[in-house]
Amino acid sequence: MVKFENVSVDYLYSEGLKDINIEFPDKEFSLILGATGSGKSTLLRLIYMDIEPTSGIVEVGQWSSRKVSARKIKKLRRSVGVVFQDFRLIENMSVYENVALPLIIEGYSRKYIKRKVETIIDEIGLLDSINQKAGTLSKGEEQRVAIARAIVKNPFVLLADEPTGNLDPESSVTVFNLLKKINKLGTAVIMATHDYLLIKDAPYRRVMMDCGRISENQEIE
Amino acid sequence: MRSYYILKQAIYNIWSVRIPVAIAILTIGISLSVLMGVSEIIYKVYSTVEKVREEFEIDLFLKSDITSLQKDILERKLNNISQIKDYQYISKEDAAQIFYVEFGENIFDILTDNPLPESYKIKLYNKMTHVTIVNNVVERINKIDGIDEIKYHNDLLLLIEKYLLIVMVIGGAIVFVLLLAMNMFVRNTIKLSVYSRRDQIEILQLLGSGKLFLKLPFILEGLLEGIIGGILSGIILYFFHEIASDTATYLFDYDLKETNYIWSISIFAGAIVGVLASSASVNKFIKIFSTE
Repeated sequence: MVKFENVSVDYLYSEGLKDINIEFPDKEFSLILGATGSGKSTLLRLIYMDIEPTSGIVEVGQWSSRKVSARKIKKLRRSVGVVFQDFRLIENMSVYENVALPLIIEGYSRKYIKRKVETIIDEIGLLDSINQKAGTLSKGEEQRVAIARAIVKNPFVLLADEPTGNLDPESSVTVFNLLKKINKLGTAVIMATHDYLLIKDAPYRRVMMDCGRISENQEIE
Repeated sequence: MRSYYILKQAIYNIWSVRIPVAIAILTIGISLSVLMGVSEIIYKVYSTVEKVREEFEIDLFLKSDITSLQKDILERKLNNISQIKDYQYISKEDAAQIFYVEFGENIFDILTDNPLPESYKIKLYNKMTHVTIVNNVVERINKIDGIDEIKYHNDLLLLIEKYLLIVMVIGGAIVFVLLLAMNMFVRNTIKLSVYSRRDQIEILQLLGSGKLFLKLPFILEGLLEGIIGGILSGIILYFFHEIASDTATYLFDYDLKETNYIWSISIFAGAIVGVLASSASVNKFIKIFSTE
């Protein structure tokens, strides 16, 4: 579970977050909606502890922003999957190597990594491009690789920051369907987006953000 | 798998900044060979000085009317001087024999009487053969009765001490400058590598990578640069020894043909320089380019 308690973030030159209180339960798909600069990315960055709250507490599974240390952040990030709008793949590495990275960092055996990575790449439908350099893929394919990398270690929550922001409509649908599939398998997904058309009929909880505040929290029954 | 990844990244880093890497390797190679050459010169000069010191003697000529009792007292007093390692008594007959060995003539063929005095050859401990200590010892010996004359080559000691100091200072300065140059070049290439991989560093941190995992490819890069630089230095020194061997044997009686040690020392020194410089650099620049 991810929990925000009276969380505020002050930025020097822009609005951050103001007094956020919200919980994201396990296995749930949540959509964070709002215009650019409304605080969606800041909310996600707090979850993978890329930034610290100015006040309040963020709890992510067993980790709390109150007792944060570099060592704990490292462990937290190994349990949380993150997908970015700009994919953040290492372009000179192959699809296989990019997806394998979190497992290499953890020190898994070559045999385990091979089995796990090939399964995931097959699931995202890129087995034919497994040895291709990430830099030579289409944007849609790059985002699928980024998702594969984010879920290769079975995180309890997957954070997706505008994952379709750089994609054409067709690729956006593919990526969104992939995220839905991941959620069905039991991983909580928190997706920030302003692509209202894409999520129009999605039966998920919607958290509306405006100027750093939660303006609406629509639970889905 | 981790080691494979680290090795692959190190090689990729080297390839991605290959021109600065080539310059760094060349700098290490040339600097190490000059550094080892200078060290070798310092060592050879030092060994020569030690040899001269080892052979340094004080000749003590006795008065012709010295009594046995005075000789006993003199020997007892020499035994009490802690700087003296040992001494050897040279009788008038021994002196005549030495004269024959050194000049090839029997003293009795030239003169009817043996004019050569009795003497002592005094050897000091190696560490005691410094101008001030020798002067001090001579001053003490001079006070003993029965001594006619004391001869020793203080001028030679002065000369070697002066030149040893010059060689040490100049050699030390060259070594210092070369170490700085090597350090600077390796640090700069690692800085470039870290800078060109800054996005990758950020991604790895977001994936939960520890600092050591981030640093190791760069440290390995430094190690590889150092080893290649060391091999280059070994090649330069090998050819230098081949060329300079005859001259060195002729001028200084040194055998430079023995070159096996050059390779191991060069490569080891290159590796140390590479690892130290890259570690220092990566510690500094990862802090700058990382997100934490």
